[in-house]
Amino acid sequence: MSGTITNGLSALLAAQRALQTTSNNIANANTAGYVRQRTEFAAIPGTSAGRYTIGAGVTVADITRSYDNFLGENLRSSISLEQRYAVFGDFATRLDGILGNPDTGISADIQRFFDQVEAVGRDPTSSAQRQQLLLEGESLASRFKQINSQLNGISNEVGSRLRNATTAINQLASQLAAVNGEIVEAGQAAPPALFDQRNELLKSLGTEIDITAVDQADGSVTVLIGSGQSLVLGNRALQLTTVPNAFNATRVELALDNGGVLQNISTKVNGGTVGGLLAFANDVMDATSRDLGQLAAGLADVFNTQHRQGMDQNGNLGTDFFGTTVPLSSGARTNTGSAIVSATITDVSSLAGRDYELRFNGSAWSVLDPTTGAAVSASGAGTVASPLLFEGVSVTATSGAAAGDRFLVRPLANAADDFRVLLDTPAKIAAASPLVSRTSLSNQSIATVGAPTVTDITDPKLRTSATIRFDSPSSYTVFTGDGTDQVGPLPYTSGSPIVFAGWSVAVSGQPQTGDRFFVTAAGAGSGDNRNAIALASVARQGLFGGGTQSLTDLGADIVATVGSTASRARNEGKTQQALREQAEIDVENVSGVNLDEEAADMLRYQQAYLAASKVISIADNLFQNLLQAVR
Amino acid sequence: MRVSSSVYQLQWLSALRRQQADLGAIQQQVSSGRRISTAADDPAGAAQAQLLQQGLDRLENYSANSQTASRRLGLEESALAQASDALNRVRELAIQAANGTQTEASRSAIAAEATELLSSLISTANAQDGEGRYLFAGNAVQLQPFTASASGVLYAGDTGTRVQQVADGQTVQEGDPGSAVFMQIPSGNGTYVLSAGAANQGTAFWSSAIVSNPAVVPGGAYTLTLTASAVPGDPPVWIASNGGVVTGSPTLIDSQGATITLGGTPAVGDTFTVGPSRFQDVFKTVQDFITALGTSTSSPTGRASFQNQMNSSLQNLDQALQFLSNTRSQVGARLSTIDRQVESNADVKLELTTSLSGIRDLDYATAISQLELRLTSLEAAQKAYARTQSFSLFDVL
Repeated sequence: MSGTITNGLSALLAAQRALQTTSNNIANANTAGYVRQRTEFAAIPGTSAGRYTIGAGVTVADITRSYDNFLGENLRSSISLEQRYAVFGDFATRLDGILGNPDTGISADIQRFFDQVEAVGRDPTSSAQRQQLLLEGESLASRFKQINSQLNGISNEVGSRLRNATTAINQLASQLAAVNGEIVEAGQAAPPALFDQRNELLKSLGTEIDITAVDQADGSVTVLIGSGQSLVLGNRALQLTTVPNAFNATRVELALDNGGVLQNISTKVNGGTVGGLLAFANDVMDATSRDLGQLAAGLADVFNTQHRQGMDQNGNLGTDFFGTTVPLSSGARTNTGSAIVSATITDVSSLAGRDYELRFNGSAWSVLDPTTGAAVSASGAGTVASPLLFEGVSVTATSGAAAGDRFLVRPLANAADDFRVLLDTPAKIAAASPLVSRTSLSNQSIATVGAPTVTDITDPKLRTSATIRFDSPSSYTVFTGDGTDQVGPLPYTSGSPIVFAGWSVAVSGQPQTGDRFFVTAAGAGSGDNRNAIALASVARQGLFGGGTQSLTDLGADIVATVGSTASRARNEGKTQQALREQAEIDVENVSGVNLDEEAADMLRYQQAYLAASKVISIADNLFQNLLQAVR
Repeated sequence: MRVSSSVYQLQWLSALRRQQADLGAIQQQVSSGRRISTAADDPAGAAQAQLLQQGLDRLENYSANSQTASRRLGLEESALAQASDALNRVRELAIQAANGTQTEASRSAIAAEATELLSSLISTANAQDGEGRYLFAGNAVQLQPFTASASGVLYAGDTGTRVQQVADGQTVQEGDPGSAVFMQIPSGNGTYVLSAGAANQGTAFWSSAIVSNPAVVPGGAYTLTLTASAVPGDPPVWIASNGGVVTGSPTLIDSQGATITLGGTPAVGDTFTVGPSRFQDVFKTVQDFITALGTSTSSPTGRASFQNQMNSSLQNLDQALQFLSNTRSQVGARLSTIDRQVESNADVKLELTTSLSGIRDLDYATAISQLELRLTSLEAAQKAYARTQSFSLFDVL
């Protein structure tokens, strides 16, 4: 009899526990990270009564968490990747907004500048048009600076977000270590809520950086980052810290602080906010700055070269229109020698659009690409007498370099900032060709002379007045006005170029003995526009990539690169978001609370409770009946 | 399969977010009319659109260049027309003056008119565009190119010409230097110049001097002298100083490519010099004509000399008129080149605009139907959620 009561009581208690668990599930249906719990019943083995055994009721064997480790790990890694692309995409979209907008991108400004060059060509003596060209040049320069400072702003923001993420990671790691400790201490009795909390912490950590969580036998979780460095080991957490880049103190990288020993793990991180930030800084930021620099340096170089071919309103040869850039060279902080490295650009069109790392082995310099580590072939010893030459860059180092010293040369790092207008007055715009030809009006023939073309602007006698004198109808002599330089007599062929002192000109017809033609410097105030027309077309000339890519193409390339980076990030982001959502649903489907299910469970346990009560009540009745019978 | 209650909401929320993002994108496209607002929307398309846009800008520049060149060529054309009119009038006067019935008084009236015409010719040659630049100064546009002086009209400009780019690879010269238009005109008949000896005693004058065979005209000058024949009784013969053979009379056929018709009667020892053509400016031609009008025609030799000078003047005036007319046809050819390019540029522009629009602009029909579709599916998602959420076992407990 008492067995029945005990059985009833055990069932009553079990149903009560189950109802409690169910109600807890219902209560936590909307709690983030809550893993639904299940009451596991077990029959209590009865006492043997000879041939048979009567059961001794029910007990709650366990309250289990419905959690699938594999799905949990899957969710964590998809959160890491989603966050990586979200952060990367945010920055890429901002870059796209700066450079990829057809109306506000740098290409529109370059086009406006060249439109004004055309306007000067239409009206080369108009000082208003010339003034406007200087203004357009200055506004182009300030656009380059503005975009560069926007890029620097993004770069700084990447750095500060990296520092914030590091702080967040350190906090989360400490909390994880603490929870690990509590779980290990509690052992078997560890409450499910602690596991839930740890799951949530792991998820938050995964948002910041990609991690691998390894369950240990004692119930703790070891968290690995990078290429397997442990961030959390049992109840101990290591700290991450940010360190400046070896060459560039404004660039921030990530290091693991292992008892004072800093281990740079920047290249080993892929996921989370940190992964996105580092990928953006390394893959996009530097390349975009370099492209912008190449555009600025290329434009300045090609425009200057053509501008020097012309003559200004004062009758002087054209000077540099835009300022040129000086490469940025910096030594590694670890250098022990005292050498200072300085670099110059010798040929803008040979620049490969990358940075260079210089290494000194104690006797010679070697050059390599810091991104890929590939060697760059270079010639020269790096001294003033024999500079180190590679890909359009010339480098000299002062003595004092120690073996193992490293330097970073960034040829185009300053190019966008160095882009500026050097001309100070509109008259100095060299729109005209510097030479004119004349026919002596006392010639005895009607032979004519064409317009002279400049073949070598650096010839010192270029603009010294020269005379072509026909010694006979079939031979001529060319000499400078003072007669010091004289060439000839040379045989004459009608229409073939006569070359002298850096110019070339053609005489046609049948000149007579004594006929003279003159090539002289064009005077001030020339209305010629030949150099302006040549200037207007430089943007379309092949310059980069072995003469296949023009400035216009480079501008379009920048837009396409920035655009496709943003677009790829956007698409990857969408994919990763969908994957994360699916992973979350997978986890929810196992661990989440289904209210209908809980409602059904409640009914079940309610009935079980009622039935158990009935068992007790019947056992009681039986007992009462027995008592009355024996009274 | 077990589904957690919160999954409904998760799924619905993510679907809602996605559709709202798509809706936002379409809405932005519809309101801007652009399919590509930044390069990320279509990187390759954006790069191509940029190149097309630059092509369009270039066409705009060509169009402005064409207008500038047309305007200046128009100005040049009208200045050349004025110069031609003046020269034609001088030529009429020369024909009039060459008539033997003219008196000294009437010739001096002609000289007065020709002097007026000369100064109007100089001022035409100094024509300026609307902005104060000289049309015929070459590139020295700020210098007055022509000034009269005691030694004739001097040219201060240079020989430069400006060109304008009117299409890819097509430039048009937008003017001619004064040296080429007014100064460097071949004298005589363009090949040689015939001049009578100053000491000629006869009354011979030349009435025409043409080139019968340009290939054999020698480069240098030579003299034809009427020499008494070696055979007594034979008429005197014309001997060329450089050994050429001259036959015929009064039309002399020179084996060196010149055919000269003489009038009047030459005296033995009279000479005519055949020299290579050289540059003579149009002002000197007119001035020479005016000077010739003052020649005394009282003696027969004087009349012959006057005739010779008149013939030279007419020859030079014809050369100058021919030269001006050639220049005008070149100007006309340039103007028609510009017109053709403007037309073909317009065609290219239309093509580029169409391509650009195809790449960059929005196809409204597609966009609007997309918009409708998104709205419908958004509404459906909302309704489905409301329906599924309204059922719970707790409702019936």
